[in-house]
Amino acid sequence: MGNQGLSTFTPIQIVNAHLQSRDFQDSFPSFRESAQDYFTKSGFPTSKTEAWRFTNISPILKTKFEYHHHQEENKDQIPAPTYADKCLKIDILNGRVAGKSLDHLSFETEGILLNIISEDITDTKTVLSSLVSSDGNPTAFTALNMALFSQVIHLHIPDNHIVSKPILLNIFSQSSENPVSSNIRIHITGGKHSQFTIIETYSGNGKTYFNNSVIDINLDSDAKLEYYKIQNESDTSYHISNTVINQGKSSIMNANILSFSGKLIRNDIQVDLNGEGAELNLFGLTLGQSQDHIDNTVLVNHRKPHCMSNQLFKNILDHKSHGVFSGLITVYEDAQKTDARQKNQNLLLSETASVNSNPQLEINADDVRCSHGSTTGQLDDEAIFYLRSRGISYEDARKMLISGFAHEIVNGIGYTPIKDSLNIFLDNYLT
Amino acid sequence: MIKIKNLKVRVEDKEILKGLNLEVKPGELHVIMGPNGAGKSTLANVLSGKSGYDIIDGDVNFSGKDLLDMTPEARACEGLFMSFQYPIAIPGVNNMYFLKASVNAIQKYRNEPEIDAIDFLKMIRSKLKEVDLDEKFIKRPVNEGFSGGEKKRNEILQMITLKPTLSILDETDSGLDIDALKIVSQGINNFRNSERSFILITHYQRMLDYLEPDFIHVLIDGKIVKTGDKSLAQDLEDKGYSWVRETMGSN
Repeated sequence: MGNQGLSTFTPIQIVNAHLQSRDFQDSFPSFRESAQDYFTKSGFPTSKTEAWRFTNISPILKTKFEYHHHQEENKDQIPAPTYADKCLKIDILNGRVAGKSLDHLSFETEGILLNIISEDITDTKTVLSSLVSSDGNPTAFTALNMALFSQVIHLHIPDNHIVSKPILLNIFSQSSENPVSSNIRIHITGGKHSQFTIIETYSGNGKTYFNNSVIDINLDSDAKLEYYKIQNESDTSYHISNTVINQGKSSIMNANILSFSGKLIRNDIQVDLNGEGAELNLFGLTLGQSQDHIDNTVLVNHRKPHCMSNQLFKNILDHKSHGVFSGLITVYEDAQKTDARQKNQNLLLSETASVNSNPQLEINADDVRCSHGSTTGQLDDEAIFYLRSRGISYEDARKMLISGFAHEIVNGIGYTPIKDSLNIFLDNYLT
Repeated sequence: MIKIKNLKVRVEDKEILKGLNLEVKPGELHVIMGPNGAGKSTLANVLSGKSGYDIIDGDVNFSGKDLLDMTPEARACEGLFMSFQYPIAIPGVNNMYFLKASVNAIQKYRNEPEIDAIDFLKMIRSKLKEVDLDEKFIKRPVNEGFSGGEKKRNEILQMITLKPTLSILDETDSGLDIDALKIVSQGINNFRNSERSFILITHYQRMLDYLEPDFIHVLIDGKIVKTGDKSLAQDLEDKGYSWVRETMGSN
């Protein structure tokens, strides 16, 4: 089936074919088997599956997609953010690296090991076997990704390296006749005392497509990562991602999940604080409109003592958009002196927008400081009146209050070009 | 400046203002005193354009225009200002950004050029001194974490920056200690001139030690029942509102 070009299948058809034939078991045999094992035992989640109560994936399962989309050498430039020229850029078109635009030398100069492992390269098993930490606990979509990915992008920042430019993963989806499905797989490892920035951006050509990405991040002791995920997907697109982060001793991760559009977005984020003194700052901002459905499901596991995690997810939802925040912090027995905070704040701008918020804490250690909370509300009429009584129009007052709600996230963004582009997104959203 | 005629206002099913008349001329300072529930704050809210009030009769002429027909922002742009009894905190909105947006909205309404950031900062620094507020206050979110006195001084800062022709001060003296009361009063006095008018709503006579009111009005049960000079405030302080009610009864 691999190269049949325009053949399309629903994800369910693909899984069934996968279970029945050995066609898929190419050069990554053992990994494809793990996917097969998963689907033999379990299928796709339904609305009755606890973790998927608020997100209905049946539209994805019913859509026929093209999978092994071998693009021709791209003739056109892939659209990229305005700050792309300040970054070390990897263009990823329909799930595969657009090799032509990749400047290997610039990565080498920065001391980054970039390894793009494609299915047509043999003898990659040993490399891959070290990279599968995310598959210890597979879900339907990581298994689907495991069954279907055709490339692994592996980035390694060696010990003590400080990378001066951000690494930009510019992920673009381009459907033509049929909706395309991309199974993106990226593994990032930061060595001891390394410091680097990753920007993962998603956008598309306006048509229906389905991104199913698995991002695996490993930070060794004292590594520091600034991480941005920016979702500006087509408003008819589907996006499911599993981001698994493993933090070593005294490592620091500052992450921002910025979701601007997408018909259905589900971000599963799991962070394991596996070394003493690790620190996680995880912020999210969703700007929902039309019929966007944006779900952030976040698991933070405090496994070692003296770790800190600070989560703040803000959803601004207009029209008929729907936001979901599910968060679970688990503090394990060993994790004394844990400091864990989780906050979800939702602003509904219309009567038809809605949100489900479900922050949870599970604490198995006694000497810890944990807090969590959730608020949902509308624009404050008293505040609008206050601004209007000072000559500011209703429209401007509304914009000011919404920007004010987002301010805490916007202000916390360290990389100025992203802050600027977020302000532009926010301006457009408010107009 | 402003002429209120036979103003009748209902909130839900209850009539709060029952035919109120008041005229304030340029340069005058009028004080409205009255017991709780008399309709003082309703009057301030109706004049500034807050929603939730049902105007059943009467009209308000403000500088030749029908005030009740205007949006709250248009009223502000026409020169009306209300100092709120409980100024609301607005998280995430920088005080300076807000005040500059406000000044420029009014400039724009009047077809005057907008003020740039540098000129604005220069202007605001001198105004801050007048109300004895530190520069850090304009860099903080609007009213967030401000003490009661700081909120009221922030209101006065807005007043002297926006330069309204009519300022309605709704219990600006409440929650102020003596020092803050002096600063706020000073701010009002420095701002007063022959063009600018004030309606001061208060429960207490103490702020009048620092101001020179032209008229004192007593508002009871939705109507102004007595008007006098500054000495009336002292009489009220000494004898209470029951004294007014009694004199009304004897009339």
